[in-house]
Amino acid sequence: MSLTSPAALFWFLLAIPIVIFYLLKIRLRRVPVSTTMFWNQIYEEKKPRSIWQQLRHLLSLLLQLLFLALLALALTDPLFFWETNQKRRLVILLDRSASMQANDTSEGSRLEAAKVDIHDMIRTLRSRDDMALIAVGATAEVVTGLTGHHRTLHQAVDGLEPTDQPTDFREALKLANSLIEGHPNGEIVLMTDGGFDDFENVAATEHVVSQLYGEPDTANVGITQFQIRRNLIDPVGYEVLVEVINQSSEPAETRLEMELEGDIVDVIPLKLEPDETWSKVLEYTSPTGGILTALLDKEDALASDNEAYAILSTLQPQKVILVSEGNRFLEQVFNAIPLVELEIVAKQPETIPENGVLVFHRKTPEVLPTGNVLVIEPESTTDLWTVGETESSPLIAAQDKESKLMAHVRLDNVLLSEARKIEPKTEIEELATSVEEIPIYFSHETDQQKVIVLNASLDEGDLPLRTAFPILMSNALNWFSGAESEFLESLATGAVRKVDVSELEPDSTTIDLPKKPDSAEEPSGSERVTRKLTSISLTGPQEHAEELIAQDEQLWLGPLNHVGLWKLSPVTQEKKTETTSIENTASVPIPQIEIACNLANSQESNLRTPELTDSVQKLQQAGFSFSPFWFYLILFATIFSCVEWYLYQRRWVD
Amino acid sequence: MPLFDTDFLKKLEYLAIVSRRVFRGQLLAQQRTRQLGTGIEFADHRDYTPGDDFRHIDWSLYARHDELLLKRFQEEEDLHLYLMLDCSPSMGFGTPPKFDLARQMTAALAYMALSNLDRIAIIGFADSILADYPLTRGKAQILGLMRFLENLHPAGHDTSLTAMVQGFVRRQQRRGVVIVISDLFDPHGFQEGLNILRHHQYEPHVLQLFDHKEADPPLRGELELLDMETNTVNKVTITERGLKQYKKLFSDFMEQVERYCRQYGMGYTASPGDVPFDALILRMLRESNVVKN
Repeated sequence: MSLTSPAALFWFLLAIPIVIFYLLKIRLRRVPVSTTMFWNQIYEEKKPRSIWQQLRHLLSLLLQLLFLALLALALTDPLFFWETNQKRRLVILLDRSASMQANDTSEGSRLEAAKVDIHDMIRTLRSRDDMALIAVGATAEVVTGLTGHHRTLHQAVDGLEPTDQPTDFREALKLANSLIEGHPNGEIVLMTDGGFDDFENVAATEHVVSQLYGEPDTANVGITQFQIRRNLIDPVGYEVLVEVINQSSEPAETRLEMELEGDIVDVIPLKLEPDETWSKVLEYTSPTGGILTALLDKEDALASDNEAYAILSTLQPQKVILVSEGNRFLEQVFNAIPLVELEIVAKQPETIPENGVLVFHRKTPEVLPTGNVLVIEPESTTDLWTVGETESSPLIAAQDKESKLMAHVRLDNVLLSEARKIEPKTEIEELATSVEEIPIYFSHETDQQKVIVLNASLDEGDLPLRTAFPILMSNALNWFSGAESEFLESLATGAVRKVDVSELEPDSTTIDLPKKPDSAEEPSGSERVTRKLTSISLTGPQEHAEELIAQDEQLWLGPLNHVGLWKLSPVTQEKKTETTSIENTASVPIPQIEIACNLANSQESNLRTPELTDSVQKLQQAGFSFSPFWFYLILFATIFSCVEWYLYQRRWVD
Repeated sequence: MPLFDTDFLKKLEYLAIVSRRVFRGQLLAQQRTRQLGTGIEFADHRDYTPGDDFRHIDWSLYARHDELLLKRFQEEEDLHLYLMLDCSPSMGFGTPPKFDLARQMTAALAYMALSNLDRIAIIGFADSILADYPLTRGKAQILGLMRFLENLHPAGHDTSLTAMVQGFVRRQQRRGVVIVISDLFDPHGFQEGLNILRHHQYEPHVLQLFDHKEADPPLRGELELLDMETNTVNKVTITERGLKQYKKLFSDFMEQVERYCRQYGMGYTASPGDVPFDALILRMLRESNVVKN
């Protein structure tokens, strides 16, 4: 044992006055009384205890000297050899994943209970000890580096906010190990609820002590999957993938309520057996789209997995101009496709509306216009192909099954009456070909033009009578509109996604910067690469906004902290300078991208704390040594003081 | 401050008048004896026998009943009052000392007796008779008596009422009232001394004085108790429990003295040592028959 402040040993000199006072105390105060005959009656009985009476005085002195010795020793701040070898270095890995928000502890949430423990640990830090605090979610965030400053550590702990992220301790553990590397008294304190894959291994790692929060039987029902997409067959339909899990050893009953933009879409009662996962793809229709919300009507320990969000793309009406002398099959099929605004004309219009489709039946111009063009049964040569002789009863020999244009379509058993021999003048994508290698159905796509050709007669043959025909046309219109790219996947908390922000139309905040800084010594032969940086504002579900930088109209987004709807919007000059009036700002609609974020993590929804095995070092064992030695010295001194008071000094009034 | 000042003397005179007015017929100087003689108070008649003094024949009765009867009268005699003053060192305890009040009470009772033409004697005692003021009569003796009292101081080294009384009753003297003024802290017991007085036809009256610090001593902790009478030292650790026991013992002792006096028809008065003597005298006269007929 060594002493931090040996000078405090001078306090032992106080023993001298104590002994002097003790000796003076033996010379008792003499008090004259008129008679001792009454006192004699009282104390005559106690004579046999006279030896004890003498010992009591000595014991009193010993207790007082012991009290002094302990206090003086405490002032020297003694350290045991294992404490003096090197100072301690503690790295706290605090789990702040979604499951730590479960409110099954006496302090409220698990995170709050952990924060209380960290505050206690900070208070027991000695002057030479260091502590670092790393908050662990999907990523590791160093909240404070190694420091022994108590106030800084307390403020850092108080400033920690819960997140809905999943848990990934691997990166944090590497970071913590690098902080204590080479330090003989380094220790990593794992404060978690154990809700991640590799917990047993992480907790059993050398230098790691663990403290678990939560209960082993905390029940929870949560949504672990919630995705939405447009129906591939039905343009106005959509499919919802939803998964609900009962992370409990008891059966659970709940209701799953789904609302699209505030309107109830469906309410599904659920009865889940212990540990049962209910998963289903549900189909609904909506031409408008919007925010689809799923809610579990059950209050449990974790709220963030009782709600989930998804964004259904909004369909725009599609203008279809049919240049034809009249074909009932074509009119009927386009009228049957939802959101199609059909216009039949005899002559080719001068312009094609944006996102519109120009359909030529038989007659085609020599040069096809730019834009979306669908040609049915071409009769004349154009700039893209040359029309040859007619081939009767062609049989479909091959079709591209991978193409989206051919999705859910089989043409091999369709009887066609005739088809023209077509020689393409440019590169085409053959979607269906006859035995004679005549392209029956093919597409051509450039930056300015999208062309689909169906080389088959509709008046004869059974193609218009087949179900494949409307699907074929619907696929074609979807291909023209690009609707298949509108699938907006819900993002899981903690995940990262690349987002195209080109539609946000950044204004003057957009800047062009050279990749390399200007320099006089720049080699003349080096290529100058220009990157386009754009400021994007990210607003979370809690209306907290932060500014991100997109590069070349691509933004790496994530990991997101909270479940809910996040919005990306451009950082306008008005926002930055705040000089423009509110009215002007309000009059211009600000483009924005909405992103749904869900917990979608069955491990985070599982709130049942695992049992610690014997190989895991628990914090409670290590925590006892956290209290400095002088604390126990003063504790014992106080106890001895109380004993001395009880034996010799206590008084009470009857 | 002198023990007997002018104010004290004025109060004495006042007490003498008051006592005479209020307790006339029962006060000290008008005591009737059992002897019938030449007093002025009629007692009864008896038959005339030859040789009786003709002056005592009740002629009025003879005129009415034609019968010679002699009138008999109660013979009156002066009272002998013995004041026993405890002079042991324990009487010097207290604030003010109990001995001061004891001497004032002795002087006051003596003055009242002398004013009523009674005879008084003062016996100062501790373990034996230490000082003696012989029987005397007449108010003129009061100044000498006060000088005697002023010269008395607590002395001796133990209280022994029995030893003193045994010496007292051996004297050839008339019986009378004995007033014992003491704290009665007699380790041998107070009963024996009072019994001897009763058995020798004296009429004892007890005036017991105590101090508040004796009834409720402000003592705690490790102490050396110096016994003022025996001059011995006892080392004690006074705890609350011990103090409680002391108070009970003291209270029991006071009750024992009072119970004993009441049992044998003796007058008893207990008083702390810090009360005015005149108030105590009036209380004695009101509460008890100091002297019986």
